[in-house]
Amino acid sequence: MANESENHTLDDLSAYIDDALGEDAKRRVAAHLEDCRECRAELDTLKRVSKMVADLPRHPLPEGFQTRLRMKRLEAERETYTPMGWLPQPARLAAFAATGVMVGAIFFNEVRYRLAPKILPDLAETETASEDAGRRALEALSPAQIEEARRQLVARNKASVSAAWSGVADEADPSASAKKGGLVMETAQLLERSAGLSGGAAAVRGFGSEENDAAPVEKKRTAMLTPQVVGAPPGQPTYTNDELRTYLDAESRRLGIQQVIPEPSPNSDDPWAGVPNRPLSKEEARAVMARVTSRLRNSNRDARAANNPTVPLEGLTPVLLGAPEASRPLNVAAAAVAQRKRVHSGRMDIVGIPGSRMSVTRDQAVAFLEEGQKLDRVQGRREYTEAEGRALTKAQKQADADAAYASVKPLALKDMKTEQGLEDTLGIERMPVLRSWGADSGGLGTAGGAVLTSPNDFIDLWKRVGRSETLPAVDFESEMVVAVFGARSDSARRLEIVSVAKQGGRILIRYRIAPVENGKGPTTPYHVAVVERSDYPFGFVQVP
Amino acid sequence: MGADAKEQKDEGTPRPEPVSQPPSEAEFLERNSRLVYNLALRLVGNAVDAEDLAQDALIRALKALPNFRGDSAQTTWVYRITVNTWKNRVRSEKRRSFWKTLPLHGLFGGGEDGEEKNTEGSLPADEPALDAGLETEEVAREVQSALQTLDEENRAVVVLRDIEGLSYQDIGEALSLPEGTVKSKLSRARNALALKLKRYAQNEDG
Repeated sequence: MANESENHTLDDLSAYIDDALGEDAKRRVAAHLEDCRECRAELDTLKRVSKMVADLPRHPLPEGFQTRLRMKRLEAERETYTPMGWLPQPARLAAFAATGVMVGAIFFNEVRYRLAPKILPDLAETETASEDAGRRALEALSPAQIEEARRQLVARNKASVSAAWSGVADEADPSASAKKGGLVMETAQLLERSAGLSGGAAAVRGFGSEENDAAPVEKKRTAMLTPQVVGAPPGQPTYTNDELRTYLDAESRRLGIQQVIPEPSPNSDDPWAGVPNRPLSKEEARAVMARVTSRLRNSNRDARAANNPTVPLEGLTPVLLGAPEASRPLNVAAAAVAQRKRVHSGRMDIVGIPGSRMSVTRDQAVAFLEEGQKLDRVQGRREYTEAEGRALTKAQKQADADAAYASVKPLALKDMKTEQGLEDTLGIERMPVLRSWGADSGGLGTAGGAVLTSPNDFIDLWKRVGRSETLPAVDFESEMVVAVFGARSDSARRLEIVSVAKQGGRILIRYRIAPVENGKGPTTPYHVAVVERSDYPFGFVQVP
Repeated sequence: MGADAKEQKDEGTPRPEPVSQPPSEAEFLERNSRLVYNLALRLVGNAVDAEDLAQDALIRALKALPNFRGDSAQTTWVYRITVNTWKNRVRSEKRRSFWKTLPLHGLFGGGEDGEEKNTEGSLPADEPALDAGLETEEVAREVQSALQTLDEENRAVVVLRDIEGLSYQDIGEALSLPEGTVKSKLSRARNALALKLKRYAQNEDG
């Protein structure tokens, strides 16, 4: 029975629980509670709510919390006298390097994320060891000293650029520098920043300012060259061009990327004879390929005369050309990314070199020439642009998918009896679920599925489902995340990704919804799984 | 009745810090990091943002530490910084959405809405019953998501009171609110939570 005084005491009830009322009010509420059953029930409910909130578990600090805090703080302090906004990133890099926590890397944008873990490891060692020394060196520098160091470094850069890269850098088209330099510069900056942090604040700063006041060409050269000035202050490790190249070579071997560095041969018959031992420019590669084809033409003529099989030459030559950017060691990284993309699409043999930037190795070139049938796949006599290549790839993929679909046999009853039988009949290729997380609540509450291929998306998803553990590491270069959400249901439901499989050129994500016996609703179930990355189209299927 | 309610809360009440001299940074972090992180966790509702917020708040606190005069208990002071950092952040935060879900039905014929009814009855449940641990975890999740629906000041009030055990006066100080407002906000927040958590909070037979 609601009455006036009850309304007045509503706030008081809550305060009564906390014993935060004056004596008078307390007595008044106590007296009212004697009479009013509803208010007693209300008080009970409030108490229970208060206890439920109080009972929320306490969590330990996530691993690496203090390290990241330290780095963040250092960052914040530097920002107070640094105009450049990018310092947070090297600090995060450093946090990543110092703790080895994958999560740190996820905060980079995609390109950085891809490159960071690869390039960092050997810098990381010096990083950890000299972090304090580097910081001290940094703190000891006055703005004027930094400016002076910057000037010297830039001057040194310019001198080294023209010395080490004359004849190569000159070929570069200045107008294209911004565009094609994008990734290259990114890499250079990344290298420099991460290494610079190990002791070279001056180098880091120097580069940032240089961006603003140098002519475009100079800027690009400096950008390309910066890795050689990493780790500036005396006593700190420095990477020379050679060391860097050795390192990048090792990296590219690890990544399965090869550069066009043919070995000079004394045999004058060898079309590669006299080719310099460095990545080739497009022109140089064209010249080499002209020699290769002419030699093959000669050998074909001999073969025809001897009634032997010949090697067709049609159309292949342009594909084998060195890329315009093949002359830069850092392009390995770009090539790595490009090649990864193509591996993901599963179409290494389709033409359309992304941006025509790929280099091919001598071995690849020879292999191409020798496998004559592969020439059939090259459609035309020129290089394809990235867009054309993509269109071709897409068309090919679609054709494959259609063919696979068309080839699916009608199911026999016996095939459907076992899972294996089904898989065999349908041509299903399972993609193992690498890690997964799920819960009966915390999902979006509307039925839906998603496939996430970027760290940012995953971070967002992780936040939305409100999981308390630290964001798990997902290597989006080779993995992706699939998620399924169930509709909000008043009875208890559980949702589970049963399997992920490639089938007929598509990825099928099979999920199951089951009631939970004795469980309490409402539930908003979800399930998130990590699987190997793939660019195939996907669909969701509910299974019993 | 009022007496045993009071008893419940006593263990959470913060101890006043000695005023003599500010603690070293290491001591300060040692003492407050976990506290701040857990407060942040309850305020923002997820571990990723909580770490970020906790670190920002701790950095701000460390910066201000030399000027900390001990007018109030250090804990209250740290709470205030955390809550303020959080409020600033909420103000400037734009909700961004990077990804979207696709409907489950359609492409391949399967669909939750369409098939759920058919399958419900015939399916065996895979687990006989939820054990107590799971139940607690589930309740915790429900409570956290109910907290998330409160507006920021109400959320802060209820977290500071029921989790951190601050007095009304300390809460007022931490949030720059008069005590009377703390009282009414707390009442409103608890009632809102009671509604959200009806099935847990109400008496079994009531």
